Amino acid sequence: MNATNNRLASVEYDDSDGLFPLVSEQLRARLPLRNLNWKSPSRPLRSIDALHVELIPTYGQQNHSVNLTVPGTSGAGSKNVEARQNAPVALPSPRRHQIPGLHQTPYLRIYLLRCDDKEIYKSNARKQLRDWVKEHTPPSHSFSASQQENHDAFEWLILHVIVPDTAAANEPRFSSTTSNPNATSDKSSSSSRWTGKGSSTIYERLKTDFNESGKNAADRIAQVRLSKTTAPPPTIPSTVSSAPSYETSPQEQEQAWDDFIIKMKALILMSFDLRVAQYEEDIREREAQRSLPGWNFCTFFLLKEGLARGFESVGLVDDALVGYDELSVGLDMIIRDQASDAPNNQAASFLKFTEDLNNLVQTTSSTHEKEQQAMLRLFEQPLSPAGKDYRELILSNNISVFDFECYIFSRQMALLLRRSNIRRHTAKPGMDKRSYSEPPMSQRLSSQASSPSLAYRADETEDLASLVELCARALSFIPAGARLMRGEINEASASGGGKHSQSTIENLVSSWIYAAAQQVLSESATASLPASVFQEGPDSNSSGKSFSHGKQQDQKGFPSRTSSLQSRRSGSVEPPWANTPATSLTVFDSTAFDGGPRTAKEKSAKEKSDTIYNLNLEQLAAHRAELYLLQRRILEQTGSPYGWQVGWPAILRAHSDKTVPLSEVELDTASEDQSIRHNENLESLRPPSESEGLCVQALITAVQSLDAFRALYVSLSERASKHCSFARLPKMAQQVLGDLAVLKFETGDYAMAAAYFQRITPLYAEDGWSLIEVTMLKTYAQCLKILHRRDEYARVLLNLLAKAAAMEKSRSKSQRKQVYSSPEEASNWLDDEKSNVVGQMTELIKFSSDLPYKITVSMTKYFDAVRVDPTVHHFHDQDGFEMQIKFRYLFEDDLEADTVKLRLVSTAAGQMRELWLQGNPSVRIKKGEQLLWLGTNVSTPGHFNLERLVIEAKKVVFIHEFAPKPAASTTLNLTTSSAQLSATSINAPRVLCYPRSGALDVTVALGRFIYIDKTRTIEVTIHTADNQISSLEVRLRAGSAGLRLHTNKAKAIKGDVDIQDKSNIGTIKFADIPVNSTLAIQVPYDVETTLREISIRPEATYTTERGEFVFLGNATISVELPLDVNVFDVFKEQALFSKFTVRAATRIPLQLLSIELEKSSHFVVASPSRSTPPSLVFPRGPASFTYKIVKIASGLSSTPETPLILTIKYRCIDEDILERVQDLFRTELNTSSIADLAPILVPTLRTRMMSGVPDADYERAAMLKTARLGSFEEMGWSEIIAGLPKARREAVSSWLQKWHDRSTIELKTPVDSDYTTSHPPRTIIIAVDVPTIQVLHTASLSLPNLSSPNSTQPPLAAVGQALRADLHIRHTRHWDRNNTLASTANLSHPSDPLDFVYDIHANPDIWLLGGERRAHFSAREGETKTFALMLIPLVPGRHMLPRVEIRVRGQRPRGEEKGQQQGSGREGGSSVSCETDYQSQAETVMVIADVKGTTVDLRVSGQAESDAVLVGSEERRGEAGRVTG
Amino acid sequence: MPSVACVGVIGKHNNPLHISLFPPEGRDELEFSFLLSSCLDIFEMRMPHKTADSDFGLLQAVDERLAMYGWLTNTGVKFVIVVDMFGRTAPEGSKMNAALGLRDADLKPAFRALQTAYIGLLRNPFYNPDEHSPRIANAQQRIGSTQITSRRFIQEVQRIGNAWTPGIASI
Repeated sequence: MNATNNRLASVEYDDSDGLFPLVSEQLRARLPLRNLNWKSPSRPLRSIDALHVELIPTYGQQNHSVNLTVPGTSGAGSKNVEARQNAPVALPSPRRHQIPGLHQTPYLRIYLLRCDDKEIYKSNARKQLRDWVKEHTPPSHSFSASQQENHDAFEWLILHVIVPDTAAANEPRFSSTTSNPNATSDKSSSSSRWTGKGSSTIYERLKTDFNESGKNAADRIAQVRLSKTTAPPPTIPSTVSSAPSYETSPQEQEQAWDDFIIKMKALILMSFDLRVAQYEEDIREREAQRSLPGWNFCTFFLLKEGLARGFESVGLVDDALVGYDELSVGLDMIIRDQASDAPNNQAASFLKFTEDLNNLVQTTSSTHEKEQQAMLRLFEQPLSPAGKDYRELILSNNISVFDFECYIFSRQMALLLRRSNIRRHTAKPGMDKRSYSEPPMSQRLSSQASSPSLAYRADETEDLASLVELCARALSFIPAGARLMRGEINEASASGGGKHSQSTIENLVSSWIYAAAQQVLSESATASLPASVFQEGPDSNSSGKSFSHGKQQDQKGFPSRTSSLQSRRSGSVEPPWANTPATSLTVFDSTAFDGGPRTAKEKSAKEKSDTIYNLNLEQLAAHRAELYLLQRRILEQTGSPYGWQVGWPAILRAHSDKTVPLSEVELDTASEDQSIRHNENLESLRPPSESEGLCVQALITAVQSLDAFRALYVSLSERASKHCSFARLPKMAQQVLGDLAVLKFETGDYAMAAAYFQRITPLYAEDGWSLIEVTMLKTYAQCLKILHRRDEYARVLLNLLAKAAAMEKSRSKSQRKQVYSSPEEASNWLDDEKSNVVGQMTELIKFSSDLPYKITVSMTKYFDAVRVDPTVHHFHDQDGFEMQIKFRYLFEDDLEADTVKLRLVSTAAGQMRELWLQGNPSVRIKKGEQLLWLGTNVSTPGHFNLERLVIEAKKVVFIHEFAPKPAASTTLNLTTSSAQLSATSINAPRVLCYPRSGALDVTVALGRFIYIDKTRTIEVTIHTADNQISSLEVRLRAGSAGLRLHTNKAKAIKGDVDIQDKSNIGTIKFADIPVNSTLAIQVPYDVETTLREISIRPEATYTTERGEFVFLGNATISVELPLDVNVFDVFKEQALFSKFTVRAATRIPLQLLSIELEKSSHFVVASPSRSTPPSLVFPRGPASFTYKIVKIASGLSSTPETPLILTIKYRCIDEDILERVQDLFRTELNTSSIADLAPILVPTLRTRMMSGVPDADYERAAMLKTARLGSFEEMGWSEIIAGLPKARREAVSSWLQKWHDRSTIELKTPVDSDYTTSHPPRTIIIAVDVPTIQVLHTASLSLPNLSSPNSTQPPLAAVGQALRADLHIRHTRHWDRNNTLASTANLSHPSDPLDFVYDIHANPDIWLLGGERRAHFSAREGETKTFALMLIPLVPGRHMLPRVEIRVRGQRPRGEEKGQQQGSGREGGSSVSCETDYQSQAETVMVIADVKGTTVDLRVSGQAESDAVLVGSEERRGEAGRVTG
Repeated sequence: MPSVACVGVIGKHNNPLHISLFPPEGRDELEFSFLLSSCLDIFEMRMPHKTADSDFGLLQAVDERLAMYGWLTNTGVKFVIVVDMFGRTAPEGSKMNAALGLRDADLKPAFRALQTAYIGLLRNPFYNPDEHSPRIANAQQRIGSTQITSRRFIQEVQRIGNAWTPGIASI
C-alpha cells in the first residue's frame, strides 16, 4: 500500500460491470480536475489548479500494489466479473497500525453502476449498491469508527453509466424533464419524481435511495450516458428492444459529465479536508507530548509525513515540502541532541548502521556476478524513496540515520521535481493517456521511483527555482550524507570484524556520492538548460553499459525515463567507450526534442519573466556545475590509489620528481605506458583490489584503465565547464579549463594545452594569483617548447622569470624586515618557486640565440634595485668619464651579459644629444648585488638625464628605463597613478657631465672683427690641454635654422698648426697637435634669416695614443650687433661734413675705445680735433663724431674710388664684466683645491652671469665702474654642486661661498695693455661711401641795409621797416663726381644750364615778402645768381630769415625731395639730385617796435590788482603813435 | 572532527591577500588556491541576492571532507574558511560527530575574529591597502606579491585557524 503512488489523489472505482473501459475515455478527457479551492480553518485559501487523479480499480489494488512487478494485473477489465462479488468481501483489510498515514487510501470510491432498466435496478442493483455502500460508508458517517479512521477518510459516489440501446438509455435524465412526446409511455407518464417507482428514472431512484437527506449533504449520485459511438459493440447487449431511444443532445451529455466532475471535486475535497483536520490534530497532540518520555520521533515522523503526503496527493506540493523540511530539521535536532548526549533523551533510537550497508561491505569482496550486479543496481538510484521500505523501517524504529536522511532527502527531491514541472522531452500523447489507467510498467515505476515525470503537465511552465533548490540542497546533502555513510560503514565494518580495507570503504562512499550526484544531475536536467540536456548523452551511455551487463529483466526493472529522447538515445547506445563525449554532444540538438508549440510557449514564458528565468537558469547551471565538480573530485580520489593523478597534482608531482623539463615529459609518458600495460595485465585477471567497493559503473569503468579514467575526467570537466560558462562563473570555468589543459598536457596534446593555458593564465595573473600563475606558466612553457613555438616559449619563460623575480624581491624584502620567523608562515610558496626557476634563465638565454630577433624586456622585472650613481668619475689619464651602476640580480643562474650599456640624453631643450656608456663586454652577472663601471670616451659639459640601462645577453635585451614614459593607457583608468608617474619622471636621475680639467676643449665665439659688409665669422678655439693629439677632426654642426657654416673657408688665425683638410663640409681636420697648444680657426658663416643668436655644436673627435676620444660641445652665440652707427652728411661747397652717431643697439652700454675714419684715394679726412675715446655709450646717450671730408683734387678719376673705412673699437660692458669676473674666478680657482673642477665651474659662472644680470645693472656698472658679482644663491651653484661627487660637494660649496663674499668687482676703464692683449676689444669695420650729389646750390640771403650793433648781436630792424634782401644762389656741380648729371637731366652737354626754381618760405605772420617769392632761373657751373627781395617784419621779436629752397624745375617740392639727397640721380632721367646749402639758415633779425616813448598809467584801484594802462607812445620818427587802451 | 583547513583573505579585486593552510605541510597549496579562486564566483553569484549580512554561509561543499564558508566585509574583502570535516581526531570521549555537519553559525566566531584581525591590520598606519591591490600594482607596473605581510595579522590568522572548533563561542 505504501508503494502506491501518492503523488496523485487516488480514486478507487468499483467496476463490477466492466464499464470502466467505456467511460474511461470520456473521463480522462475531463481530467485533471481543474480549479479546486480548498479552504481549511488554519490555512489560507489554497487553490489547486489541476488535481491529477489516479484511478485505481478496487480489485487490483489490494493484491498487487505492494509489488507492482506483475504486469497486466492493473488492467481492469470487463472479464473479472466474478471478482466483483468478492471484491468488497475479499478485500484483505490492510494491517491496521496504530500509526496512521502509512497507507494510501482513496479519497473517493466510485461505484460504476450499470443498470439497464428499472427492473434490474429493483431486483439486483439496488441491493448490490446497498451492500457496497454499507461496506464503504465513510468513517465520518459511521460514528462508531474511531478517530483514526479520519486519516483515511474518503467519500463515495455512484456513477450510473447508461449504456446505449438499453432501457435506461431511453429514459430521460429526469422524469419531469421528459419533453419528448414520442418517449415510451411508462417513463413519460410519471409526473412526480418522488412518487411511484415506475414513474421515476433510475437516476432519480438512485438519488432517493442513496443520497442522504439534509441540506448540506453531498450529492453522491451521478449519471452519465454513453453514446453509441463510444461504447464498443461487444458491450452492447443484443437483447435490447428496438424501441426508439431517448436521444440526448451533446449538451446534455456534457452537462451530465460536468455534474459528475463537480461532484467528484466536491467529494474529494471533503474527504481531504477531513483527513487534514485529523492529521493536524494528531500532530498537535504528538508535538505536545514531545518532552514526555517515550515520545518517539519515528511515530511523529510518520504522522507528519502522512499529512505531507496528503498535501502532495492533492497537488499542494509546497505545503508538502514545508512538512518535509520541518521533519528534516526535526531529525537534525534529534540527532544533535543525541550527539550532545542528553541522557534522558530517547526520542528516537537509530541503528548504528544500515543493514544494507553492512551487506554491501560484506559483499564487496565477493566476485559473484550476481551480487555485483545487485550492488550496481543499488547504486543506480541511491536517492529513491522507493529503494527500500523506508516507512516500514521508520515505523519499526529500525532505521539508521543515513537511511533516514536519505529518505527525507529523496522525498524532498521528489517534491521539488514535481514542483519544478520539469520539462522533459515530449512524451507522446498516447502514453499520457495510458498512464492514467494502465500505466505501463516502466512508466509506473519511473514515477514511483523518483521522477514524477509528469509529462502530462507539460503545458504548465517550468519552475526552475525548484530545480535550483534541488541542486542546492543536493550539494549540501550529498557530502553530509557521505559522511553519515562513512560513519555507518565504519561502524558496520567494525562490528563485522573490521576486515575491510580503508580503500573499500573509501570506494563505497565515493560510489555513493558519485551516484547520488549523478542522479540529481540527471533529474535536474531540463530542456531549458541546453547544456544539461546534452549532458545526458555520456551519462546514459555509462548507465547503458550497466544494462548490457545486466539481464533483460534488470533492464526492465531499471527505472528509465520514457521520453522520446531516451528511446532515441537508447537506440543508439553503443559501448560507452566507443563514444567520445565530444561527438555524442553533438548528436542531441536542442531542437530535436523541442516541439514547435513547445517552443512558442517557452518563448512566451520567457518574455513574461525573462530575468527571473534567466537568473534561475544560471543558478541551476551553477549548481549543476558544482555537482559535476563534486563528481570529478570523487573520480580523482578514486584514481589516487592507482597512482593515477590528473590535473595539477600530477604535474606538481612530476615537477618535484624531475628537474629537466624535457626529459620529464618523456619519463612521464613512459611511466604512463607502463602503468597502462600493468593495468591491462591486471584487468585480464581480475579487477584490482583497489576497485573493491566501487559500485558505480562509471567509476568501475574509469578505473579499468588510465585512458578510461581520463576520458571520464575529461567528460566531467567539459560538462562542468559548459555549465560554468553558462552560469557565468568565470573563475570556476577557468579552473576547469586549467585542469583540462593539464590533462591535455599529460596526454600529449600540447597544442591544445598551450591554447588553454594561453587563455587562462593571464586571468589569474591579473588578479594576482601568483602561485597558480607560476605553475601554469611552467607547464605552458613546456608545452611551447615541445611545440617549438620559440617566440612564445621565450616570452613565457620571461614571464615566469618575472614572477619568480618578483617573489624573490618580496622575499628578500621580507627577510630584511624579519617578518617571517615561524616555519608555519602561510605563504611559504615563495621558497618553493625559487628552487624551481633554477636553470630557466640560462635556458632562456641559450634558447634566445635561436630567435630570429631580439626580445626586449623591462629590466625591473628581473633585476632589483637598479641604481646609477649620478656622478661622473673622470679617468686619470685620459678624457671621458665613467659611471657606476648597481643592481641586484635575482636568479641563481649566472647571466652572461654580452653588453651593458647606459644611455644618457641631454636635458637641454632642442638637442637630442645622447651618450652611451659601455662596460666591459661579456660580463658574468651572478646572483646578488652587482657593481659595474660603465665608461665613455666622450667629454662634454652639461646636464644629462639617465635614460636607460641596457643589458644584452644573446638576443634577450633587458632595458631599464630610468624615466618611464607615461603610458597613455594607464592614465585613462587611474589618475592617481599618472600623477605618480609624472612625479617619477621629474625625479629621473640627472647627471652632470663635465670634462676633466686636462681634457681637450673647444670653444666657439663670435669673431672679433666684424666687417659690416662681408660675411661674418666665428672663432673656434681648440685647447688640447693634456692631449698629445695625433689627429683631430672638428665638426661644426649648425644648431640654428638657416645657419650655414662655411668650414671650407676656415682659416687658422692662431696657433701654429695648419688645417690639414677642410674639404668635407662641416669638418676640419688637423694632425699632430702638441700638448697644451691652443689653436683658433675662423669660420665664416651666413644666416638665411636674421637671428639674434646662433647655436653651434662643435664636436671634436681626436686620437691620442690612448685611443680615440670625443668632445661634444655646445655654444650659443649672440650675433646681434651691439651698436648702431648712423651718418649724416652735410655738403658744403668745398667739403663734406659727415657726422657719425654711435648708439648702443641693445640695452647694454658700450665702451668706445677708438673710432677712426680712414681717408681714401679720393678724399682726405680731417678728424675732429678732440680725441674722445674711450667713452661710454649708453642706450639713450649716443656718441657723435663729425669728420670733414675733402675731395682730393688731383687724380680725380684715375683710380677707382674706394669707400672711407670707419673702424670702431669697442667693448660691451657685459662682456667686459664677464671676462673680468671669469678671469678673476679662474685665477683664484686655479690656486684652490678644487682647481680640477674648473671645466665645469667656469662655464657655469659664465652662463649664469650672462643670463642672470638685469640690464640696469650694466648701466650702473658702466657708470660706477664697479660690477656686482651676485650672491652664491643667485648664481644657483647648488644645482651644480648636487651633480658633483659627494665627497667634493662640501669643499666646492664653501669655496664658492667664500668667493662670493666679495660683492663687487672693479672695472678699470683705463685699460692696461695686458688686459687688452689678452682680451682684445671687438672691432667693427664699416665701409662708408662718400655720397654724391649732382647739383649743390649755396644760397644766402643778405640784408645789406641792416647792420648789427655789434658782432654778437643780430641786426636790428623796426616793425614795418622795409628791408632790402639779396638772395645769392651759387650753382656748382663738382660733387657730381661721376658726371651723371648730363644723362640724368637730359642735357646735351654737362655744362649746359639747368633750370631751377627757388622758393622762399617766409612765415606770413612775421614777414611780408616783397619781390619774387618763387622764381625760375637757369644756372651753369660756378654761376652765381642774385635776386632782390623786400622783407618787412610785421611783429617785433627775434626772427629767423625766411628759408630758401631750390629745386630742379619740374621736380617735386623740397619736402618730398629729401630722399633724393642721398640716392641722388638714381631715380631715372627726370630726377636730379640737388642740395641746397643755405648759409643764412640760422641768421636772425632783431625786430623792435619803432617807438620812442611810452606812457603807462599805473593806477591803484580799490581792487587787489593794479593795472598798467598804456596811455600813449611816441614814434621815433615822429609819426603819431597809436594809443591802445 | 571538523577543523579549519585553510583561511583565505581575498581582496576586493579578487586577489589573494593571504592564504593560510592548516597544517601547512599536509595541504596542497595549489589545490587550495584553486578552490579559493573558484569560490569567488559564488560570492559574485550570490551578491545580488544578499542583504546587509556579511555572512555568506556555506559557499560550496567541495567533497565530503572539505566545505567552504564565506564572509564579505563592507569593503569588499572576502574571508573564506575551508573546513575539513575530518580535520583532526576527536578528543577521547567527545561525542561530536563529524557526520552531523556544521551549522553556518558555527563559523561565525571565526569570521568575526578574522574581521577583527583585519580591522586591526587596517588600523596599522604602515599598512596601505592600495599597495595590496593588483589593479594599482599593475597600473604602476609594480610586480610582485600583493599579499599581506604583517606578521601580527598572519599570526592572528594562525591562531584563529588553530583555535576554531565547531560550537566555539568566540575566538
